[in-house]
Amino acid sequence: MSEEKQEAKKVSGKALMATARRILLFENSVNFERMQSLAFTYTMIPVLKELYKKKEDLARALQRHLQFYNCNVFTSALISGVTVAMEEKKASGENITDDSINSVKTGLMGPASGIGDALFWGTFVPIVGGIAASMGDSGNVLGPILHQIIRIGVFVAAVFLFVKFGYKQGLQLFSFIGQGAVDKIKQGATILASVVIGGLVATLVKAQTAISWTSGESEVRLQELIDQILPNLLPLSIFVLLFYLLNRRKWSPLLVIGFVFVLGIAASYFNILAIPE
Amino acid sequence: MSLTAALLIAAWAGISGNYFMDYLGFARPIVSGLVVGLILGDVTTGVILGATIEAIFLGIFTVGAALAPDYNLAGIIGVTLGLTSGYGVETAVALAVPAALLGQFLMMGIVYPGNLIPLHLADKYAAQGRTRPIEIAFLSGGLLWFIKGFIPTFLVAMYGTSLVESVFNALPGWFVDGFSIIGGILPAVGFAMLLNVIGVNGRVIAFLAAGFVLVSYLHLDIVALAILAAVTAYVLVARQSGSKEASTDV
Repeated sequence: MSEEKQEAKKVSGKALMATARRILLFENSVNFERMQSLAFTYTMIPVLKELYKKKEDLARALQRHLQFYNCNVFTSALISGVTVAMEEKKASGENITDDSINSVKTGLMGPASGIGDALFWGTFVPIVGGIAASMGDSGNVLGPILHQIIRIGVFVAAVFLFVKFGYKQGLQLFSFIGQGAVDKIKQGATILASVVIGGLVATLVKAQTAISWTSGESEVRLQELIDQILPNLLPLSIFVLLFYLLNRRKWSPLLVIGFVFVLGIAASYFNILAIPE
Repeated sequence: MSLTAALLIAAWAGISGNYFMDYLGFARPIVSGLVVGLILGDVTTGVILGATIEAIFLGIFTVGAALAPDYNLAGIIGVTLGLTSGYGVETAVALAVPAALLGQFLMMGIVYPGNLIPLHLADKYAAQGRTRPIEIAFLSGGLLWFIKGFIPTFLVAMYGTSLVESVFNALPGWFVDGFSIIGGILPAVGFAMLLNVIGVNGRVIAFLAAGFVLVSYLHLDIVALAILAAVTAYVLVARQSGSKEASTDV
């Protein structure tokens, strides 16, 4: 930083934070033609206005960000940071073409979406939702409140941190992603998600059999026998069956849901399953 | 239902149904359970219904350009009619999937195509180097999200209750009970989908079994389980990196 060129331009912290704030609104306008390109442009405006004082330069910058863009918003904040760093260099006269900025963005959005979807939608959201649902199941108002404190807190903090981190790393972010750190995070998330899914199957999936018979004088209820051996045997069996249909038989989710409806109505008619507690 | 309540619920659907609200958590059924419960004056039942619908959609999310079923609309419509119809859980379960598909259809039919207008306006203003109109174009996209949630929710809130009641009243008892049974099973679909995304292998099955046993036999709370799982994940992954690489100062 000591040898800055004379005309070197620097994005202010204020503009960088304005970009981060705008990312919170990212999905407000999306379409199938270029997905989030307008959103990306919208978030870059505070930065671009600082860097490009000439109308033609600003117009070109706006137009290059209106190219196709689609990414998980959680990790897209990293790409925004990198893009700000690149725009800063371009505005300072370094030899960076429009294409190179866009190819960095498109190069990063695939892996960033993969990580973001796995971590955010595939792990974080269902775990927080599962905790909130298991609390809310008994009418506990803390369920949704805790849900929102965690969901808002983590997302907002991540967006601001990621924008800063991406900006600081610049193009080195590529090597960071290649260094196996991401693999480790994904491995950890897989362990976390597997354990919690196992617990949620036992908590939120509910199935009890209504089958009973009389042995001598007393009535024997099958569910009571099951509870003594393996509680939640039925929820577990149903979970395994549905996974088998999805994974091995390649049924579509909608077909599996249809199957559950038929199963539930039939089980009610033949008095095999009871209304869960 | 009073017009005011219907308008408030519909407005909540218009606001919370926007995808950016999904990233902030507001779109989830569990949150709508609280909000709609507050509007209709029965928070406890609202939260219980919200939790039921939340469980159904836990494992469902959008990947890339394939839109997920609209669990936001499912949550709001399910909780609203569950609270007003007298068939709480049954209504929530029976309407969750159709409402989610309706919302998904409206997103693909109204929100995404409609947002081509702001996009093409932005193209025009970008060429002129004007930023303010681009910002307005972007922000106006929220209007389409609002319409997507507001209109179906308002209609359902005003006219849905008697319809649901007359349908359920006409159905035999075992059929109505079937929806409660389905509601208990449906969360398993989402969990199966999550597992499908994670990819199943010996390790994953072992951790899954551990989580199941800790809750089933030892009655561990889900929060405690999540913390325990996070610690386990950290210890295992950190130890692994320690043995493979000497230093990892990134």
